[in-house]
Amino acid sequence: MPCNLDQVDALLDGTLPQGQQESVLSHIHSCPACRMYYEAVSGLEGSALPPADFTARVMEAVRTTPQERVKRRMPLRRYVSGLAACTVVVLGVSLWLSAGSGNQAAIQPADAPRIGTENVVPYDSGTDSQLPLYSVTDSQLCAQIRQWMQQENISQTYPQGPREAYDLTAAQAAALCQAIPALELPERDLQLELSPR
Amino acid sequence: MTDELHAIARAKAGDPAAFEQLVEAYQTSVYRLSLRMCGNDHDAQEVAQEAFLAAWKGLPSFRGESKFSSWLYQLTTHAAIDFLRREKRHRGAVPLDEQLDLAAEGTPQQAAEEAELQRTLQQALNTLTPEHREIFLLRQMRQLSYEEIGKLLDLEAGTVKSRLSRAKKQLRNILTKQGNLFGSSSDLYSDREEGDHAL
Repeated sequence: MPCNLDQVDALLDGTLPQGQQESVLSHIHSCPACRMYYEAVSGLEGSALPPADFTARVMEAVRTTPQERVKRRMPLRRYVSGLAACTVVVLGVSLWLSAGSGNQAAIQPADAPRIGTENVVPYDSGTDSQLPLYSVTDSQLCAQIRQWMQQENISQTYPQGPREAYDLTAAQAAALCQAIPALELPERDLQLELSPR
Repeated sequence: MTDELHAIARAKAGDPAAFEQLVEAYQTSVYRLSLRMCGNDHDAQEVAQEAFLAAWKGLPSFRGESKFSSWLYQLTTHAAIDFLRREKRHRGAVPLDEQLDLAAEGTPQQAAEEAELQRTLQQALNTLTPEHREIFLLRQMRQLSYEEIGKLLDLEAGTVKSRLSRAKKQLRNILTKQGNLFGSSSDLYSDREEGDHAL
């Protein structure tokens, strides 16, 4: 059998058909060149180990190194700044207020929980997370969100006692708001925390 | 949620104890990858540490679009490439296998054969550019798919395939020449091979 290193590679990758394996192995056994290639590539992993204090050294550095904060996209802030610079703050605020209440009235049923009430509370999550955190406490709303998360196969990022936390991308937050009109979240990466069961 | 996912989520939220679990779990695979990228134990330790530190710093941005392990391996090769570039500037050349630290097992003859094989392999790897070495090792050593590598390195799958193919071609040339050399002078690997592969 002539040298065929494509077949040797296929053997190494585990993609060589079983019927050809025996003849390729037999060739490797008799051909020093193919044998060297086969032995070398299959020995890539090696057996070297990091020193015993490796983890401790890494952790020493970790404990003095802060995590990077996720850059928040704040188009609204830039927008408001632009308005302020144009000295039309009053007009801007009134527009914002009227737009906000108008949207809610248009999309929410009269008895639906509303954003900005005790049901969905945005607050600075401080050092616990780099994402803006929105906490949902209304049980009906929580149940709807959980059901949607399940449908979308979005898994919980970390449980803290009875609470659940989900990191949502801007697209997921937008899709969630579309699915549950009573919910209005900013279309940006955020963390959503659900409490009551 | 698996223990690892739980640890990732907690580390992402800033918990060093959770991150320590991840370091424990991945230190060997990260170190061995660093060792193949750098070619010596001292540099490999430094690169592996840099990779873990980069993972700690960058975890808040990790969105789980790739596997955590794949992301970590990419940070490792990235740290190694940066390191090799810095060292090249300072030393004037990429270091060869000065002191590849190998824990060879078996008889002294087997250990010597293993050491020789590893030296040959590392010398061959060192002839690749760091970028080609990165793709070769991510594919052959860490079994990442072309798509995963492309996504992590922001390359088209075709570019990944062509770089991998070029890297393999170069390694084949070097290793098969070495094989012929050893094969003509002595049957260096025959004893071990019979045991290992039952040919």
